Amino acid sequence: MSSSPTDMNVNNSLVARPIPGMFTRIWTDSLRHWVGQFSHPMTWTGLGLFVFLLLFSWVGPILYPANPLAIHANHLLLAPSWQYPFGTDNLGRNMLARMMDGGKATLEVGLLGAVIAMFLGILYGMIAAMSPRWLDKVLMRLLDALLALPGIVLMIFFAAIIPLNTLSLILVLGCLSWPGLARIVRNEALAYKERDYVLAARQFGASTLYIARVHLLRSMLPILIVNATFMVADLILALSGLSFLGLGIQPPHASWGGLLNDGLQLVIIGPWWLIVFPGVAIFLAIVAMNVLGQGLLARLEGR
Amino acid sequence: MKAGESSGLQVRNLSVTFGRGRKAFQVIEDLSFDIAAGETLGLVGESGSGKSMTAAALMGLLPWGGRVSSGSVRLGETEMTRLSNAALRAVRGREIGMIFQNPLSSLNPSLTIVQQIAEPYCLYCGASISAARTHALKLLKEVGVPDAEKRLDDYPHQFSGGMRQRVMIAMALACNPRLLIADEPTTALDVINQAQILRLIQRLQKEQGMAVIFITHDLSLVAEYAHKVMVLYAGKTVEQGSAEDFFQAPRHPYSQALLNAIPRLMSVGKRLTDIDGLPPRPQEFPRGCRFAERCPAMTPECLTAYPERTGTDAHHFFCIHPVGGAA
Amino acid sequence: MMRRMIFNRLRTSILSLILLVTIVFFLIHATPGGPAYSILGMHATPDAVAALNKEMGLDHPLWQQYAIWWEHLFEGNLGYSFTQHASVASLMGSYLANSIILYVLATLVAIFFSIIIGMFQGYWAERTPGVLIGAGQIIVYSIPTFFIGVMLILFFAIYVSWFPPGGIGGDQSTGALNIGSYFHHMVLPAITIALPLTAGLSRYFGHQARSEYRLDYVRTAWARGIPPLRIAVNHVLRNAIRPLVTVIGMMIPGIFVGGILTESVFNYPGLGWLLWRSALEQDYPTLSAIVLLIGVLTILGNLAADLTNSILDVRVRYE
Repeated sequence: MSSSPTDMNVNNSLVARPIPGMFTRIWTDSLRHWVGQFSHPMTWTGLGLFVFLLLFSWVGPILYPANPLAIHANHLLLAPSWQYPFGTDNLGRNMLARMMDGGKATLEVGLLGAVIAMFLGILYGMIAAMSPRWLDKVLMRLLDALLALPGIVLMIFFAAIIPLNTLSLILVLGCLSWPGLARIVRNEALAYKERDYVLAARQFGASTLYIARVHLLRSMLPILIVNATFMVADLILALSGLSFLGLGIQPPHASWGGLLNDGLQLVIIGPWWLIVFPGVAIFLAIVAMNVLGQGLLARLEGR
Repeated sequence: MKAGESSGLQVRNLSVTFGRGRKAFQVIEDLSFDIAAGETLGLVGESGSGKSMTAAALMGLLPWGGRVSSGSVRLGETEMTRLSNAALRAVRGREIGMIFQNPLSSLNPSLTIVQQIAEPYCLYCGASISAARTHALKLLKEVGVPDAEKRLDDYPHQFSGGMRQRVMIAMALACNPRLLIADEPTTALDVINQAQILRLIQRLQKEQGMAVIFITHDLSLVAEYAHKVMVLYAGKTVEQGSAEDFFQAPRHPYSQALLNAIPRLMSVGKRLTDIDGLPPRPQEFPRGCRFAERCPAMTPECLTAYPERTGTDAHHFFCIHPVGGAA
Repeated sequence: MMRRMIFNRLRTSILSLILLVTIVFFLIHATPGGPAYSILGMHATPDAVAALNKEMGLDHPLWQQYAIWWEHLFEGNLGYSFTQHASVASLMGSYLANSIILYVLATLVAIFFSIIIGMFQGYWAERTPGVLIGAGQIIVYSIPTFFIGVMLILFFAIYVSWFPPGGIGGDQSTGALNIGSYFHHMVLPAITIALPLTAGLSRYFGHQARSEYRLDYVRTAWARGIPPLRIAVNHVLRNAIRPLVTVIGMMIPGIFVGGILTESVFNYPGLGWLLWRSALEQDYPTLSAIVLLIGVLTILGNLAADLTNSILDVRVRYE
């Protein structure tokens, strides 16, 4: 993906200097400017959907306090009803409570893992872009080799080795998902590096680190934000896939992928609510991030 | 032209509308003109005046959302506005040829020249592939492409700008059309190529007796190559007549202004006059004369209704304050 | 000039392969306690570990092990699976064949439908049908592969019983293969892989077709009375299809990801299924061999795509 910077970014890096007493105004102005820059029906739809899922997972348990692990031996495999809005599973556990619990784990890993992956990807890409040509070449070849291994393959490899819990999954998923982003960052940074204002900054003796931080990263921010949304979607998908394979969050703790797998084991008996709810939840989370990302992208490309 | 002369083009009260209901707006209103076989009509106007839209309407190729809302287009004996899509395609392939402004982008980059020239010839004139190849070769020679045999299997990007436009002409002439529409054919070319291409069109027109519509914003080219002139402004005719009459005594202030904007060798030292402002957009066409806002001779009457047609069939205009006094 | 380009491309691919082999080597040695523990389990006695280390040459210094690792690779020795009691290389054969047939089939189906959908989307761009197709693509693209698989099983295998819910046709133990049953078992997995692939590919292709439809040469073709279908196939498709090979090359990792999950859902004995089973059983030699194999296939696939493309390009340019 190659996007040209919008004119506004160029202005931002030139104009947004800390003028005494003006800071607050500049901040609110640029906030409004940012919101305007990204406003698109798809952006709002995706964002709204994702906020809904966040509320479902974190505020939901407060409004609907039920123990996701409590076993109700005489309420096995009940279809959705007023008592159990999402039904119960084969151990009589409350499916709605388990969905909220699973949402917490799934979204937590997706968001925090994305933070790690974004950090590593930006770091690697920036180092490649700012280093001498030979080192850049070496780093890029290494990246090619890493990219030849689909993230999920390595994740399965590591999931077989490490103890599986939320923290280890955040680390593994985060540390394995950055190569794609690193390449985008490096290519974008190289494109910006040749721009007049960056060359001018260099003439004035700005350090490499300063240029990378102030000029390149700031110019790339919109593209990074778009990629962050896709990253979250990818990580949620990866975690759900791993959990579905029994290599993610381990029982008795719930995750949407794990719940879907549990449901599939019972598919012959036919309790649809054990399959449809977790499946739809994963789908909604991913579609929310993808729609959000597409909306942002549409704005960036000036559509 | 009388109705009996059937080989030319006859357009009556042609209007093109976009959108429906309250949002509908007309981009072309009430155009009428005739072109006999072997005759050239220069269609002149600023960009956005409806020149290209007129060509698209004649071809039945209006962009999505547009339609011919009234009027008739007769090519020979055929009423074009009533044809089915398939019949219209056959007319386009066989009876009308069209050449465009930018010859490189108007040619398919991944087909050879011979494939492109021969395509409609095979489809509509029922030629075999080898016959089509011979025909394409003949056409390329006719339009003056050197080494035509060798160049048949070349791709468009291997040709120079002038040669590409010759290829475009060869493509347009593939089925001996009755009407050739040249939409700013020389805008992308340098002056020498421009003259060569226009002479070539003129020669082929004489040989084959085609009617030609020459769309341009350059009145000096019209003066040299056209028999008739029609000036469009904001989707309506403002003046129409034979080239001699028009260039001797243009009657509409807009025509006058266009002529004044042409730089002339003889008038070194004189200031060129330009026209202030921009033409109105189709959604905002005024009720009265559409040029009124920019016209030096404007009076309140100009704003009430569109002026009546004044003058003869041979030379007429739509203005109540014509240049050189009322007729 | 073309020879030089091919040479350059080969060189980078070989470099990537060397790096890949090195990465996988270090992956194996990154396992806690070293490979011996992972093979024998966490509760192995130190004696057993030492014996195995000696047997596998793991008592040598790291650089020697690295050399041995390369030597084994060139001999086609991918290690020994202690859980399956067979050499990994002998295990791999039928799984690899099953996977490749399934993936190629799914990819061909996806390409076929992507072209058709993409052409319609390009033709209808900015009108209601085009927008609807675009929305459908994002939605289908966002459905997790395994959820598609589960829903297909639910409907086509359980509700209407048209297709088997999983496994593979023919009797694996006797080796007798029933071709009809083999492909009958392949239908649902192939659809599962192809659906998200189609969504992504047709979106790309739709963009491509849309920008082609706006170009002047298409207007020329309309003006010359060429029928719509012929314009679509002979003019637009011919130009829009050019980057397709590159895009397919780029999709290879995605095909593997979809394949792994799909094979696990359908219990389809392919590479992905084997990867999954060996991860669950902690069969490290098999696991690392599959990781290596997938990496190699991806690099070779990309190389093939790039070379094909440059040959096609040169043909157009220099013919």
